[in-house]
Amino acid sequence: MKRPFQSIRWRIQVWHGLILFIAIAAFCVTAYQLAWLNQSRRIDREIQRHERQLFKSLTEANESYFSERNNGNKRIPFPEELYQIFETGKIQLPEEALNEFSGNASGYYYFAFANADGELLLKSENAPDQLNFLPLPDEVGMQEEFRTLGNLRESAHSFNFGFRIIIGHDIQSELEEKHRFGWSLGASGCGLWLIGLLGGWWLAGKAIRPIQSISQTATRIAEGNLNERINTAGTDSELDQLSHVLNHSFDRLNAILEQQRQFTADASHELRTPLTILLSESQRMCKRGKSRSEADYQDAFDLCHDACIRMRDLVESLLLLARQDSNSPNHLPCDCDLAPLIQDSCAQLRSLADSKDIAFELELETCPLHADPNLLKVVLNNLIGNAIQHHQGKGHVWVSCRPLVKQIELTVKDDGPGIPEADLPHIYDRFYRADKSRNSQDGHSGLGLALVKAILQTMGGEITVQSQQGTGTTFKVKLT
Amino acid sequence: MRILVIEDDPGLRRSLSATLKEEGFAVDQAADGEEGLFKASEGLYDALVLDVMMPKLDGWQVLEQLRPQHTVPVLMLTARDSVPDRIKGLNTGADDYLTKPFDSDELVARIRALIRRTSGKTQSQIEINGLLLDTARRSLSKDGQEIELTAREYSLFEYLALHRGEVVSRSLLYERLFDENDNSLSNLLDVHVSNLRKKLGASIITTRRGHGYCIE
Repeated sequence: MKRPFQSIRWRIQVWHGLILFIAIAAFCVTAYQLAWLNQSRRIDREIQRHERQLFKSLTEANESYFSERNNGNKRIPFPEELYQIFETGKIQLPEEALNEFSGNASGYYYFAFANADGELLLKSENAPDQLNFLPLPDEVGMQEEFRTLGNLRESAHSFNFGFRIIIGHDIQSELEEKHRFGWSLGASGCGLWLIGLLGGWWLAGKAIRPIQSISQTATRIAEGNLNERINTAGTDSELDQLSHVLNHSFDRLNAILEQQRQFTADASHELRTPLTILLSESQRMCKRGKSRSEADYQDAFDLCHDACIRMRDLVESLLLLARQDSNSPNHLPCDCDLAPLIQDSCAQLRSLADSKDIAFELELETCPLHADPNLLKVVLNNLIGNAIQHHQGKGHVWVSCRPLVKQIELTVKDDGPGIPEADLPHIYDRFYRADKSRNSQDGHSGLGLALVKAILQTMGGEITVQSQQGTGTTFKVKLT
Repeated sequence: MRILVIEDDPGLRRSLSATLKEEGFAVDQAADGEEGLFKASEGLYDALVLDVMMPKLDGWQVLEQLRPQHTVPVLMLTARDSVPDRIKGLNTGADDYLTKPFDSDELVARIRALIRRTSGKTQSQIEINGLLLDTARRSLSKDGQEIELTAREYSLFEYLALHRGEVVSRSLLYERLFDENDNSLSNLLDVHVSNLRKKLGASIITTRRGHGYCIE
């Protein structure tokens, strides 16, 4: 088991939790602020309403004074005028205003008036002792401020002619309400966060499940269950695409492994028959050794020798093939000419050709090229040797080489029986033989053409074949 | 005992035949499945040694076409050693299985065991009138004293001993004890029988005139 914080699920969960927390917290703080702002505005409007009411009732109480000055026109007086009444000291205080601005019950209102020197002109009996009047404005007519002092909310005004007013309101209950709101907001935010976390955990698990299944399948495949594949029956999501890619890779790896396994099996299979001969003959010779004739021994040794040659040829071909496969730079290219190499090859195979009454027809031009002559010989011996060995006898093998533009063309053609069409795609397969007998008595291991193809691939050449049953086969090799 | 070796590789065929001949079997050879099937169908053989990978007809096909008319024991030789292949061989009707490369002593021992089993004997030692025949060691002894026999003589005695109580005709003995390349004179069998009688006593093998020989 991995450590929890290394798993993708946990990482997704942690990031998701963090982002969700920030979002919920931002939302709660904004909601809290907005709600309090709203509440403050309502409180302020309320204070203003009480202020207007106080003014109105003051005006009404001192109506006689104002109607005198205003020649009977009724209107709400300017603060200057109100101030003047205070100055005169003959202000009448209305009953209802006093009822409104009294007591210490939750939500009470109070007021205070002062002059330019800060002397209290009038205040309600419930006003606090410490009152901070606004300083007088410099030039502008009026200065105004709403402020919160502890659990009190005040509206303070000052006028340039020296009049200063404070209307206050106890907001204890609103503050408590604000606290309650804050707590409930916090609680529901936390709840939401927890639900979000659970949902995120579930979603992350759901998102991760295909990955887990992929990894489990891949583990089983790695343990050797090579035929298992990831289940791709789902929507065409990114993970499905990944599964397809992985399955494809597994298929290819499996095919390569299977090919390798087949090759090893074939190679050991090819070695088993000569080994059996060696084993059985040597065992036979060991028994009753004295009573044997010389001819008997000769016979057994001939058999053993043939078996050894078969094994040697096979092992050499396998090694050469393995070297071509590994692409190791073990060949030594040098400047050489193809034409004399072909002549050498034909000279080597002459006796075999004569024994089957096959005539060589050579048409050689000078073909200089840069390649390993030993590998070229393997190619030539195999192609020309095949043409002779598969021939039914009495015929021709044509070998020609000519230089083309930047290329050299080698052609080996025979008028033998040809290759059946069904076998053509497989002739370069390792250990493939047109007859399924795996009969290696005539020296075929089934590796010749595979070797030719592998060598040409490392040389950068290519080989093509044309064959018609009854008329013969033509191999064309192009070397650069 | 006459055995047919069906093997396409000429070297191995020669070697196997030589080994089996030296062990006292009469051996015929077939170079491919078709020839092998043709020869085996004659029903002359006590056992078949059958290679799997062969041209024309492979080992499985030969076996399929041979069974169930012929119950001759078949030992299959194969270069494949995977379990499914062995199972396939045994299911198709092979009686035993050997994977190349094999020990030739093991091959001979298995062929003997197969032949013994088909003749109903499970023990390799048979006691006949005071003589002890050991088919595993191919020896005959009397009171712990081994009696020297030529391979032919032994084969003849063994065949008669394995078919004890039956009258075995001369032609059958020829078929079973001589391979197709033996063009022996017809009285060769009589020579072997008289040699055996000299060595083991005249009463052991009885002659039924016009029928053949028998060990009572």
